[in-house]
Amino acid sequence: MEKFTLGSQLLQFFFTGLTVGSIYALVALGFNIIYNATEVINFAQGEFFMLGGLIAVSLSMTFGLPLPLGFVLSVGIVTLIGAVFERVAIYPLKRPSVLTLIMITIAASIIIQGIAMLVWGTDTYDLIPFSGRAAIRIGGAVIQPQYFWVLGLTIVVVIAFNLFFNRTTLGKAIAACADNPEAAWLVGINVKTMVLISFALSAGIGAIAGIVITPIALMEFDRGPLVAVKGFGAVVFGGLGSFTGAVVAGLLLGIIESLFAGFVHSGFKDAAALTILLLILFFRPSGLFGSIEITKIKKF
Amino acid sequence: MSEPILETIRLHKDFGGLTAICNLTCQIQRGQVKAIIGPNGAGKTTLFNLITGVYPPTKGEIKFKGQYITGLRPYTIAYLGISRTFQMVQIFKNMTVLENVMVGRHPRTKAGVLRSGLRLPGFKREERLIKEEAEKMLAFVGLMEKKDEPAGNLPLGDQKRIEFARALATEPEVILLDEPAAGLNEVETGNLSNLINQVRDLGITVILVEHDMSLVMKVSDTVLVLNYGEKIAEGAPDVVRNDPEVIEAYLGKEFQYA
Amino acid sequence: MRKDYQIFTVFILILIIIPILIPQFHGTRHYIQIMIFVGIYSLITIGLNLLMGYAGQISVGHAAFFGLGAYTSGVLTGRFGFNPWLALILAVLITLMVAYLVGVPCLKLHGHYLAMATLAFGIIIYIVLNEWDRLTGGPSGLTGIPKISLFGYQLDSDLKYYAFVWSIVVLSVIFSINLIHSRMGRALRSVSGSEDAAKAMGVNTPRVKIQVFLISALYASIAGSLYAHYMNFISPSTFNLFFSLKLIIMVVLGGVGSIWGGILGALVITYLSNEWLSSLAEFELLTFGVVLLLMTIFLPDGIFGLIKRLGLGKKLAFQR
Repeated sequence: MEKFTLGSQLLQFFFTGLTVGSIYALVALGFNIIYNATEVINFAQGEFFMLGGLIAVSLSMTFGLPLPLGFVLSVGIVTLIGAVFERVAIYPLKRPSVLTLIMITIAASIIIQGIAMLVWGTDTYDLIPFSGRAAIRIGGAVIQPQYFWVLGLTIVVVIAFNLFFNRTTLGKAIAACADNPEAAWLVGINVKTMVLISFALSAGIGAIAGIVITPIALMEFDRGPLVAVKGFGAVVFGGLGSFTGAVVAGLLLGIIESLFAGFVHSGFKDAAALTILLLILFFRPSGLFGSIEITKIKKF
Repeated sequence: MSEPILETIRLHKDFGGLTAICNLTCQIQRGQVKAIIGPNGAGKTTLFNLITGVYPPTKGEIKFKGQYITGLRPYTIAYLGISRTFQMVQIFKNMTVLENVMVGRHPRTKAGVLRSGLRLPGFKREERLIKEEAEKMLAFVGLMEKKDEPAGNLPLGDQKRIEFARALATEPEVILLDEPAAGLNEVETGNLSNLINQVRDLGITVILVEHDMSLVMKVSDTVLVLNYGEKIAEGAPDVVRNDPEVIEAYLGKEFQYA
Repeated sequence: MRKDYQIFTVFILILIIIPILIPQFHGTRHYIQIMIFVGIYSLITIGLNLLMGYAGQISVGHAAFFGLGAYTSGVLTGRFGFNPWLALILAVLITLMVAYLVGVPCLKLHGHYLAMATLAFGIIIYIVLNEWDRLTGGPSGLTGIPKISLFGYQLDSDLKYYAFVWSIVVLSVIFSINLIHSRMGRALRSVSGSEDAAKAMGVNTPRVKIQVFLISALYASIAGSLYAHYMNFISPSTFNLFFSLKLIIMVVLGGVGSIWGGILGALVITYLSNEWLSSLAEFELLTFGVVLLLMTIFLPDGIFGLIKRLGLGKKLAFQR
């Protein structure tokens, strides 16, 4: 009888972890897309996540739009915001220093949060689940259907991105920009447009993550930074620039966090996740899928 | 033959799949001016980085004054008496010319956080000495009139002289010059050649990486030739210059200017 | 150095004049109160400036040291009845220990990684302060923190506390300026000038970085203790990410790499928060974000950088 409960608990935490981890994976993908195109770490990444959720809430709850429409519109709006952000804050910079980039993306993060607070206040918002709240039982664990939406959408996004970056010309062009912007420009790739697209894509992914998790975890204006830091943790964990790494690491991070919350202390789960980030940065900054050689040569 | 002041023993450095320095054994005698030449990518700057501890070798050892210094940190090696300049000038743009050279006095002075912050006894005297020594070095390279200028405002030739003065301020026994003549015109190169001779006269051992063959011929006592990380020739400048393997490595191009 | 002495004299004069001049206006108590906060925050920004401006490092989690100082003092005196000065010393020791443990590995990182690491650290401390409610009182905060007295002399009025806080600020300014104009100061600046060249010139850059990190944590810890004994009540929300960001904005506004800039930045931002925005608290986030953005784009050297460039004294090329 004991074993059964432990087993079902584990399963429960595993599913929660997988769900939460999917969000981290998506946010991490967003970081990587921008990094791969520009070597910029976008501190405002978490705000796209937040905006996605809150805009979807407003569209469906306040304006009464049907959920699928609200979803698509919200992603579209946030994607646009990502593009505007790039044009306004990144594009005009001439050879910015690392410090300048950090400051600008932090400033953008604060500004977006500030506007969000004015629009939505400090309340917590809920979104109707995509297919109801009727819990599904799997081996003793109780799973909301929304969890499967999260997992499903994540898989779709990952596959789509894989295809996009590996099979399409546009995707390969963006990857080329990160590798060698001058060479890319020389072969006729419009680097500036690629950068714009990568910011837009990154914002879109963030929004998808935000919308799909809101029915489970709710959303408020200041949810961005914590998700961003954890997403960054997944990025480092998986190896900066590696898409596969980001996904695997994100899921792992989510599972570890969930297990910690379940078996140790739920109040400190965020601290635990962040401690993992710190440990990776300290001891293996090149990540799971990075080589040790890189750790010796690259300046982290 | 007295003990060499600096020697590498089967020194080897791999970067992932690339071998930058291959089984290099060489000695440098005290008081010499030794030039290290070779085509681009031959591993010359890597050799400097290995000697000064920027990264550790994959295999092999480095000895300085009979002591093993392999794997020591750059600041320890500077303290022990090896100093350097950089191929891409690395002056402190956020400080004045004089302050740049004063940093060179760091390994020979002591005042720490508490002594400096609280202005404990002995501080003022040490500061005065630092300033005097630094000014001496600036006078030596001929930059005294610009000592209070922001270092970043000076032209490249002057910036290289700042680096030189700064490296000398550490009171080195061995100084490594990485392409000191790069970007200099004929007059400036002539000045450089004089400076190198004066430094040698002070008893300091000079090792220089250079592409400017006329400078190399003029100032060096011995020349070491690297190609793909390996030593392919070593000896007096005239001997090396006529070595067929060396000529082949360069495809005869740069030796036309010698 | 001489220019710093001149500014220093003016600074002392202003400090003395303020409490004499202010009683002429309404709400004396209110303005002295604000100036106390400015003093406390200045203490932090001076240290942060040494770290960011001179050593070229970044810390997006400095509120943590402020919080550690405040809570150690608060808990030891409020819950366990320690003598406030003993508690302050213990707070400093504990904060320095944490700073060392975290700083040594963090400072091996650069750029974005360092920023993220310090950001994560700041959040971790905030979570600990919030969740460890048996010790800290949790989100509802810690009450009953006693006042601190000076050799038996009761600091029971705002005016007295103002003098107390600013005396400490003055001492730290003197220490910091002494440090900058010294071998260690040049070593610090060489690290931000070119870390490779600094190492080649014998500067033990990891050690220098950790030393300045510890100094900045020390200042922040003392500031925290001063804050706790003034407010007699503290809660974790004061020591959150936004406060860490506010500290950076103070430093950037005043001028990264200027001790006086740090104080000016603390002054402007504190006034902005407490005075000009007091009725528009919802706009605080947005305003500060805009301030940071504008400063970064148009005035990266801050106000003091601008003053320097307008030729009041030597022109100094700032490395960015």
